[in-house]
Amino acid sequence: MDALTIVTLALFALMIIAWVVLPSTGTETVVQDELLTGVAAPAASAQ
Amino acid sequence: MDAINGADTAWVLIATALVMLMTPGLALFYGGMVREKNVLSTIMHSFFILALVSVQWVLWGYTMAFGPTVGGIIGGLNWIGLNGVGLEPNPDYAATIPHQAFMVYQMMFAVITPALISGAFAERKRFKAFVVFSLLWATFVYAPVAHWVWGVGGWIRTMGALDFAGGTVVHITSGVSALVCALVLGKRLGYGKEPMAPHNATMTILGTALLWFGWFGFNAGSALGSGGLAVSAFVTTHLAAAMAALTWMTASWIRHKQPSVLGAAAGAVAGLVAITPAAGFVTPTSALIIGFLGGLGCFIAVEMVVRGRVDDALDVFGVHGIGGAIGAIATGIFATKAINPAGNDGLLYGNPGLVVTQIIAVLAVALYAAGVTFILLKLIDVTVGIRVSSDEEEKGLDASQHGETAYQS
Repeated sequence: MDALTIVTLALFALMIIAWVVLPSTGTETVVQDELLTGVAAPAASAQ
Repeated sequence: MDAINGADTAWVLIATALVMLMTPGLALFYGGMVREKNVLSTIMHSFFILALVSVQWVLWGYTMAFGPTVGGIIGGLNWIGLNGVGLEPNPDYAATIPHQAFMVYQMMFAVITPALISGAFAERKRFKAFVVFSLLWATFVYAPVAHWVWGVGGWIRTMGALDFAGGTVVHITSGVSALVCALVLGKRLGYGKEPMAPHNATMTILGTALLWFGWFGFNAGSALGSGGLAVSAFVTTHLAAAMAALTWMTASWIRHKQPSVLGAAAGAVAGLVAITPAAGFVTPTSALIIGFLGGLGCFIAVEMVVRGRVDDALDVFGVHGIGGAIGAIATGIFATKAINPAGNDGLLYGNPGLVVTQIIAVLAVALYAAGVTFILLKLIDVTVGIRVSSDEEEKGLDASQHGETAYQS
């Protein structure tokens, strides 16, 4: 395995870890609304 | 006489059509990001340039870019009106396809480059000023720089700089010129005070998809043949776009707490820009790293431009200017003759001199594009007038410049 492949693997692994651990406030909002009202929050507008 | 190769010719014609599709794709990419009252005018910028520059290219643009060199600075007018540009191959540029196939392929690059700039002056530039600017810019910026970098005898090509598909010729010229446009025109009315959110993000995503699709023609077509080099460029192009989309999305997630859809789209474009000069010179893993650098570098650049209160409306400088520079310099680092013997080895393969050459090319092209763009804008401002009135801007350019509206409520 060459150095470029090792670097690429490391970058990809770091990103995967980030996706798992980073908070996602949008998802939390939808879940919370569903728990409170039983109705999913409206989809986020592009606006 | 060189023989025409059917497979090479077929691939270059297909690639030409793919690159042509990028300009309407750009129209949708930009059109979705402006406000509802300016969507038609923004789309019109790209569509109109497709027609305008096609005619300009045949009449004088092509010969200025690729005609017999005049001191390494500009192509001679020998091929004006395509005089002498026939169906026989021109071995100086592509020995196995008709000269006209090469000419029309290059035409599509000349078309999309000024269209890229339009993102910087969206929502506030007069249409007639845009027409004059685009024609003059294609003539006095694009054609000379294309000659420097790609023309036989062009001084940057002679110096040994590498640009496989237009990192300097297309993206640095357009990106730097876009920044000058944004500075000269000034901010949109209400910039920073009222929301200017994209009016249709789905349109932008569709535009991104068309750009990504067309970019295979842009980069793999630049092999000017249907062999292994085209395959290599095809693979690196896709990998860089993918990696940059992941990188930008991750960066925006860290910075803004959510994974942005538009961020992923902008990241893909940033990766496509960054790999453009390197596509035919680097390995797949190098392409992934270039995609990472392009995605992260362009994300930071766009954030800095916004923080600097410069109204580059659709992030042309951050994505194309910076992405092009990152790609050009990365070519000096990652290029290897193992992929393309006609290229050169870069820093990682024992030739640090190529990085220096690439940096000189980047600086020369950026300075020239910025200077000439500034002069053109000032000339147009004192003659035609460059910016719409406040009333026209409030009303929207669709109504004030074109007498039409995109949506009937």
